[in-house]
Amino acid sequence: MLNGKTGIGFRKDFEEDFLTGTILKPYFIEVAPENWIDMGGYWKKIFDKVTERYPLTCHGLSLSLGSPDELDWDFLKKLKVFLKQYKVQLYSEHLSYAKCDNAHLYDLLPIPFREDAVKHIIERIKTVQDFLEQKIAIENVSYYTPVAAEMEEYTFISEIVNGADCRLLLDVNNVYVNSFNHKYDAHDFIKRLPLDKVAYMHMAGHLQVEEDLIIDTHAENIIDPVFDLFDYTIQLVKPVPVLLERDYNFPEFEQLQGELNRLQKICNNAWIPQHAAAN
Amino acid sequence: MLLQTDTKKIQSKLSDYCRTGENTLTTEVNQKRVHHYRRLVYNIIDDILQSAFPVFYGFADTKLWDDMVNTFYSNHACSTPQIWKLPGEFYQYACENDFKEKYKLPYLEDLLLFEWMELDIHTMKDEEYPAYKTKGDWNTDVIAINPEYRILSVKYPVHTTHPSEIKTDNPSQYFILIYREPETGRVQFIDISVLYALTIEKIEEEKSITEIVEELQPVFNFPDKAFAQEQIINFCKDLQKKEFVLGFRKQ
Ligand SMILES: [Fe+2]
Repeated sequence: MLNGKTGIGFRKDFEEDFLTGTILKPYFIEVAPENWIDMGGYWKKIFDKVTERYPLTCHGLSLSLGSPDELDWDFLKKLKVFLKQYKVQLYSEHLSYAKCDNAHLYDLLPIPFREDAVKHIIERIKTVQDFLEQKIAIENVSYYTPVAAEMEEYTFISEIVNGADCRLLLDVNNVYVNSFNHKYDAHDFIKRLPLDKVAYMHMAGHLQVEEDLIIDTHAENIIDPVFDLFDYTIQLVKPVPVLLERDYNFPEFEQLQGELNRLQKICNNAWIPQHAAAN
Repeated sequence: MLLQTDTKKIQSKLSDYCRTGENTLTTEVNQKRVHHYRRLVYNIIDDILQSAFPVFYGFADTKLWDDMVNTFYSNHACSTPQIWKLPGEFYQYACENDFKEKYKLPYLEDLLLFEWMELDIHTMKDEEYPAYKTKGDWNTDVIAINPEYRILSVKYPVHTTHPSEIKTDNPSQYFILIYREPETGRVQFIDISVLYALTIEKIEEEKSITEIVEELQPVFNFPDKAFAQEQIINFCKDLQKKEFVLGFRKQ
């Protein structure tokens, strides 16, 4: 069981420490299936070794749940095989779109917060869940401009999660980034989400690029206010796996493990009764 | 379709802007911020192509490179959900749209192909190895070869010569055997002659070297067939040391 445990996104840069080193000690790892499906040779060997050592969660990039395009069935078929092969019980995707007019963009674009989009996405999530024969978790994404929005972001997320009966991957850093960029109260926002559906959480660093704009880079250390928001949030949800996302600009592994330790400590305090009592 | 035309249109406009840099959105988005999407998306594409084609990227001047990437990304609908396969689409696009003519770089297709193949062979799905034994008769047995390879045929020596030194006035023909070492997964390439390229093709057809020499006799008119056979066997023995030839097929 990974609930209440902390993991890290597996990057090729971590290969050696994961297999032979002693610094990074995640309970589990996360990968984007797109990066590993069909992969052979050297990296396949490494991937197989790493996944023998650590439980695996998957966080997709290309499903493009918010896209006007059809679902990509060829990809979904490969995905299903991959999830079975590596015994992945937790597969998540983004509440965004990454493909439009049959062209992949390889990044996450914000969906118009609108009622027709809600209905469209609910149907797509249901279709995907039926096909994969498992519930998926969808993630609240960071965004830099609203796009023709007709409802609040929390309403958009809640209606979709409840309507599709899927799970929520709550990215606390994304809430922080959005609350800063769009000037709302992060605590209030979190309280309005369907917290009973949270099945997974993400934490990451970001970069402030303008006076009033933060970009979600996954390339910096997590800042204290995001740790605080995380602490606040996990008091409101049942124990779930927690992932540290670090994709670029890697610090010393000791620093990364330090962040994992700090997250784990916050989880233990909130989620293990005797810890809370002892403190 | 539950999505309304208006919503779809807005989504298309945003994705078009990311691909082309031409912004047709108005009040639907925050104009002061939307450019970040174009920047972020473009950087992702640029990065993946830079790292896939390091030799060409290092050689091309920035304007030329940017123009190629922009032309590709704004006009081509990227079809793979897996971005590490995208350099293959770039190569194809460059061929189909005659980049070598457009940019006056006759060797461009050869160079892009060579760089893409190094990457493609490194990451390609594991192929099933043939059943083989290490001892056998070089003349009469069928040679077993490593299935993770390609033979490229190019007009310019892009595998041995830096683009700045390639002479574009006399194209010739080169064959490059490019393959993945079974244990390390490292990619190796060897410049081979047309005779050896054809030999490997015949080995794929499960011919023994004796049969191959017979079949190639009309093409090459070997003055001394026994000598030609010996040469081919030496070539195969050398490839065995290089982990391309595995041994001899088990029947
Ligand atoms: Fe995330």
